[in-house]
Amino acid sequence: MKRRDFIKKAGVITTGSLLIPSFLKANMFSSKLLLSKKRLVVIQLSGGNDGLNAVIPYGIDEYYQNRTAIGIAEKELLKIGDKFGFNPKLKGLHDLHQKGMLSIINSVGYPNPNRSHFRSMDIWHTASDSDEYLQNGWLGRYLDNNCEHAYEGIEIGGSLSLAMSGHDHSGIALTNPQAFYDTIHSDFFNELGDPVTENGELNYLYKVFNDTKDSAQYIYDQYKLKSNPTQYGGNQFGKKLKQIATLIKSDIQTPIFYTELGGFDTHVNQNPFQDRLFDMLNGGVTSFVDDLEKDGLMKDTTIVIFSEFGRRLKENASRGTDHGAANVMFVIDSDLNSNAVSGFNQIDLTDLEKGDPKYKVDFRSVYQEVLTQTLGVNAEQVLGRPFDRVKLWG
Amino acid sequence: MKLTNRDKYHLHSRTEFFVHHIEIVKTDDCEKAVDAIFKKQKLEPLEFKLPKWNPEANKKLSQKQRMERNKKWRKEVGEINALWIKRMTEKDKGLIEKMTLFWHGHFACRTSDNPYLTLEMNNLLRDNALGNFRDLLYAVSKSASMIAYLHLRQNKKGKPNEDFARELCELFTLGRDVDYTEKDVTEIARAFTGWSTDPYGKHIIKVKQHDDGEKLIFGKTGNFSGEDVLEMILKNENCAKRIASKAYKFFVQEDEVEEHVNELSVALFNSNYDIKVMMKHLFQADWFYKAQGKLIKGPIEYLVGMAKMFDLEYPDKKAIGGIQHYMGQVLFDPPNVAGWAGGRQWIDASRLALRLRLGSLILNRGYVMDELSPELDEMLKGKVKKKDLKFYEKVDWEAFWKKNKDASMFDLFIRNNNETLKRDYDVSDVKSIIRLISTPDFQLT
Repeated sequence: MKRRDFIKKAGVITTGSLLIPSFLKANMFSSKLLLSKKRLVVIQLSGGNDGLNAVIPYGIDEYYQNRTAIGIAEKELLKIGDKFGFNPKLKGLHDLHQKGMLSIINSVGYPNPNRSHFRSMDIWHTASDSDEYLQNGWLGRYLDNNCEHAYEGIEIGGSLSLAMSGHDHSGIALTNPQAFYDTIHSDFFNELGDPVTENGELNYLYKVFNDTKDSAQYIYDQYKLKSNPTQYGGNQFGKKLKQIATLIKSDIQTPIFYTELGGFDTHVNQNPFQDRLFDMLNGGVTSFVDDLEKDGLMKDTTIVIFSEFGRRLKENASRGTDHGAANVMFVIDSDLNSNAVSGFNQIDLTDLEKGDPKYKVDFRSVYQEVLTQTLGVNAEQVLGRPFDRVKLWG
Repeated sequence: MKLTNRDKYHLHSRTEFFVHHIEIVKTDDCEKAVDAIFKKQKLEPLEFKLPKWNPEANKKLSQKQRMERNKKWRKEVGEINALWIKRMTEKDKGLIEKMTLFWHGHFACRTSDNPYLTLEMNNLLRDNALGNFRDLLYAVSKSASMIAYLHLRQNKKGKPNEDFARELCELFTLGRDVDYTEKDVTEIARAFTGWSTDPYGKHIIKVKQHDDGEKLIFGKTGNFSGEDVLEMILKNENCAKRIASKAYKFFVQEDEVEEHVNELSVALFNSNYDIKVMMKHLFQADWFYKAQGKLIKGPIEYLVGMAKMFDLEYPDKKAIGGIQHYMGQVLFDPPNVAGWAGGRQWIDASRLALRLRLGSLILNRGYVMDELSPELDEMLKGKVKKKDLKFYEKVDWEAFWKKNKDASMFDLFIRNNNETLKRDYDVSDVKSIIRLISTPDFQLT
């Protein structure tokens, strides 16, 4: 007897699916996301991706002057206009840009940049100022305001990012829907029930416990609804995106997905390392977009790609680069306005602060746009105040 | 006040993570019980053998050598992490180590990439953990760790860096926007200009970088130094109040009762910041005994408690670091200078799922119960990954029963009153214990 069959026989699944909110069951097979305008998929490039070698400003002299060892030759680039070109490893992203589906936002950062991975990542996750410490993430605050269940924010990874952690509602992190289901479903857990007590902490724990069980059940049920035979590029990273695509295809009611590709801290011998990472990024994202487009699901999806900081303009003595500040962000979506796609010029390699290009766009302006346009909510509730508009849609 | 067995379990788990039934205090008198726990504490620095610090050698490294050194350093910090966990389980050190953990969260300083700084900060927190808050504040402010972390070296005359000044007021002493203004922060930064360390980590004030001009701080004018500022802050009762409030949230319960916090604050302030006086007051207060099961265990409390319950060793140093990461609290690596948010923030869906499985993963290879069908059991066995097994430890159950033969298992492990759980699983067998430690209730202390 297969394990799953055994559990079925034991009646666990029946119990579990009864716990799925009925409005979801009713809409289980409609192809509409109920909870937000579109769904958001965030891809975090950890370690500080060198944006200047991702979208190369080949038309700006300072680029080659400062990067004699690791600068990428003009003839190798996938050009976009007379000043910029994609890294040859990012062919899929270049294609998306040509199709008008990818916006390059250059020089994204924040005032008084912090060059520590941890602190800068915190700032990006919480959308705080650089001298402010917030305990919850920007997506967590979205979940607080708009969501009820853990499955409404799914991170494919071992632990939940601060970005996805709210005060009252947080997302759920898992590496594999079945394994996660197995972790939280056992006869013992299913029998534990829900004691009514006056202990607020205990009530909170049981609330999270029951929501975790329901969410694990719901995610796993959705995950196995349809098999997804699509082959993905991008190795392990591609596999994570494939899990996300498989869930999206099931019409799961999840407005936010989150995942990470790590290893971008290229202090030494940067180019071969970054090439391998870009192969994964490019392969994974290209397969993902194709896979969703095949089912007409890309029209309801926005992908945001960011890193905690960019890297120093001037290469170091080890054919690498050190921690920098402002960086490039990518937003992939099928409804971008044409200016958002063609307007990637805001970069100035002569106006530096501690050797790093200064930021021109506050990252929270991009968050604000995504909150408003993709998730369809009041961004100020999440970000605390308005930021200059970066117009990507409309 | 007379203590019941349940009160004693509560007192021991809050003060020293956990003790077995035969080790609980014999006296029923609350005052004497608390005194006994304080009295048995032994203050011993954490020692870890590192090569003698050589500032010259560290200057000359190539980029590649630097990366290799950093890797070695991070590994060493991992070993110090495991060493501290082990230290916390020692029976005459629980309270002093728990206090050190408390201060680690209060004076949160990330030292996880440098074992020298890690030991410096950890030992100074321990030295003063039950000492005087004034000494502690001075020691932290003058430590190489905090000077590096909050950029005091970059704080120079004419070019102040406000990082330390701001966190000193906001996080370490007064609390956000309590009795200070933005202007005070700027002026306090000036008072701390020149604070630095010599190449060996000893605190110095670089006279040339120090701004000895007149400053206006907290409404007073003078040529204030950094130490003057610390004294001005300590004179403000709101400093004691903030420390009291943090201790209350860490040791009593999440929801503050102002009256109780005020008692602690007065005890601290009137004793001229004697931490021991405040903590004794806390553990002897009747409201402390009404707060049983009102706190969610932090990951370190969970892991250390578990180690003490079943005499575990956690031999795999990498696994203990990894599990801290997944649970959301890695020693020496707080998320930022504000420390761990704690309380309900320890728990999200994934972390709770992990916690519910962790006890059975450690004691029973991941199985919560033992009535699985043989087939399923086999299948699960095949699925257990090698890396999971590093967390599996053989428990000496015979020794455990000997130490806890007169205890109710429910009372020993569970702090709240869940009648159903007590009815079904208050049984002295391994099966019931594994179930008790696999509940949401077990997450409370």
